[in-house]
Amino acid sequence: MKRTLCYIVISFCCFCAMAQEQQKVKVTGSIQSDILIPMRDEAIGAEKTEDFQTNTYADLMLQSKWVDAGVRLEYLEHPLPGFEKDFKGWGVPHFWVKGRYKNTELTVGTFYEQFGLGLILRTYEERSLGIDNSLLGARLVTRPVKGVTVKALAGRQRRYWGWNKGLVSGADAELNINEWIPALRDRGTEIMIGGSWVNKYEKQEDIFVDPTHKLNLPEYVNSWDVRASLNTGPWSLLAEYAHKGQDPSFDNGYNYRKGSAVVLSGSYSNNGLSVLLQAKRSENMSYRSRRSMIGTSSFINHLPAFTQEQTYALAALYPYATQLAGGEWAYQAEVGYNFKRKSTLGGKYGMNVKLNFSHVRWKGETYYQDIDLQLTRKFSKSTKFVFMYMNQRYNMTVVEGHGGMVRSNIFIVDGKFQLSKKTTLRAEVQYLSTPDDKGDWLYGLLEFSLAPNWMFSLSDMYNVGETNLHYYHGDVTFSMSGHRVQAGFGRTRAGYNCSGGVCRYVPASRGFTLSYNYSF
Amino acid sequence: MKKIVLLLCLMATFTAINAYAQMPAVTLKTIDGQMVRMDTVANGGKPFIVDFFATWCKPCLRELDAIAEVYDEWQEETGVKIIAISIDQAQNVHKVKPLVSNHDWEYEVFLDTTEELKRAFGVQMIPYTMIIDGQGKVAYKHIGYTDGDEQELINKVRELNDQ
Repeated sequence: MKRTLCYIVISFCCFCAMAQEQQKVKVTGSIQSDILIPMRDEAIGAEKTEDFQTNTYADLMLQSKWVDAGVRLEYLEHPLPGFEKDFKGWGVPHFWVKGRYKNTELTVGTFYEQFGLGLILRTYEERSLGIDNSLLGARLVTRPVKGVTVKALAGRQRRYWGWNKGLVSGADAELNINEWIPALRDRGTEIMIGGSWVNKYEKQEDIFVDPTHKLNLPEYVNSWDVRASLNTGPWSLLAEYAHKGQDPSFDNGYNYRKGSAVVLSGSYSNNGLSVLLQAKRSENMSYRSRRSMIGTSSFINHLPAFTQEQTYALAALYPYATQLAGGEWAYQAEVGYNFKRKSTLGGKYGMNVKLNFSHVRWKGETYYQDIDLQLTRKFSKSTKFVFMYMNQRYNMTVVEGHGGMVRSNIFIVDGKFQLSKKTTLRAEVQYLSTPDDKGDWLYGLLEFSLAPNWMFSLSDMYNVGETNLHYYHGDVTFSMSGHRVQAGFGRTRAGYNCSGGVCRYVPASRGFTLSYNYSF
Repeated sequence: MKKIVLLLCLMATFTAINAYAQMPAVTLKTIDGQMVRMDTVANGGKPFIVDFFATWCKPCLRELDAIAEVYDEWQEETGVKIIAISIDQAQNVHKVKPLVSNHDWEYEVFLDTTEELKRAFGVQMIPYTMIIDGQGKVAYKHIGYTDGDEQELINKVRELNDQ
């Protein structure tokens, strides 16, 4: 491992030197730093464990005609609240060199990859959740003939400040048939078929079911996936099936059943009208490079939640997390229509209507359901409103382990008022009504923008039902040519922070916050 | 030691290279499933706008909607075109085409499923907007969306056209 790292460091340095001489190199990169100066707050249960907490990342990437290279420095020695214990540390965990020749690319170092929808392999980075499950090894991507993409890879998976001992290897092939048939290409029709295979190798370990019986664990766990899609005119169809072999793990209670997942998706999009229908069934699909691992690390695959990702504060209060280890049936339907400008219903400026329905269940029990209706309408040249109603059922016991079913009705009004050419005021009022959990919530937001650099916002989330606590926040944001700085003060509620169906519990906090983003 | 070498290397490159960002050799798919190599994308010698977004990102949709209202006028006046890059993941990729139709956007829309292009430009936060000039260089970039930002965007395009 150390030798590999050395080679990569040396090649990176050579590349730096070579690049400087040739002056034909493209340099990009970014800095992201989120800082919290925490304060104690007994009312919301916020602790002050450190004087200063930060998650800071710096990325640098060099690109040339034949070779690209990149490194990332992470400083997480005093991390923000709520990350796993092993998350703490600092170093350069991401480093890679990529060579390119004709239609072939070879990456050595750490890399991210996804096969199909990611049912059996998806390595990615999600900083808000502290996820980086990149692989350290090698990856080859080649397009030997038009319409054919073949990928092969092998590597060890990152887990915070080390790499898991097990080896993950895999291959994927995708054929775009339309590239070979001119008649299809001319009509703009796309037909794709693909398949992939992933293998996880992990040594035996001593796991006892009782004092005298040790489990005979499989060292190799194979999984495969097949998929097909069709795109023609306004129609899109996709089907994907994945299968996982025996993979006894902590997640599934060390059972030897096989896992499977199937996804079907169809949509129609034409002239302002959109219809989307999706369905998924998955069972026993938790697939990690370390069988006894818990928490959010070491996943080889990723099945995001089959629900609408909500961004309004109260609509996102009870987010659903995918039940990977057990199973779920999930359905999603979405219909939208854009009433044109100067039509009877559209009025002078047009109107947009969207209806979404998500439902997740398993073995007769509802895990999650939401129905939401959203209407966007511009009333005058300077006034635009969004109205939203959502009915939600959230099975807290399944997702968080306690609490029963939370049934809620959520009402949202979002208004935008253009005051002058450069100044805009946006206001949100949201109300969540529920007899369950912590009762009703009221949320208000005022956001004043001074284009193109400044934004000032004030918000408060108030629990009307039980605790009568205010979660206030004030922020000032400045952005200019690749830089963005946001400074604020406020309270953050204890709760789940989710992205793509993966969740992290964040404890309550109060204090000054500062975020800095820079891309170059 | 290795960390120090890497850090020095990093700092050296920060200070020594006067290079510029350009479209990388990354292959993406359009929402209709066609393959596109990003370093071959151009707008006939005129500037074009690249905008990273996702179906779940409200400020992104507000920005692209605001531009959609004036897009015809922009194109007529400056010849600019917009390429919207979705960073949606897994099955959400299939929500992009319906979204584009529902919002009546006339942009070229590509899917950056593995976030390779996003990483190549060092994009961490969306919406992220760039203007690529007639020579293929990044001439302007902006993180986030403040209502009214689109005015600055078109002013920059006009400046580039005048040069």
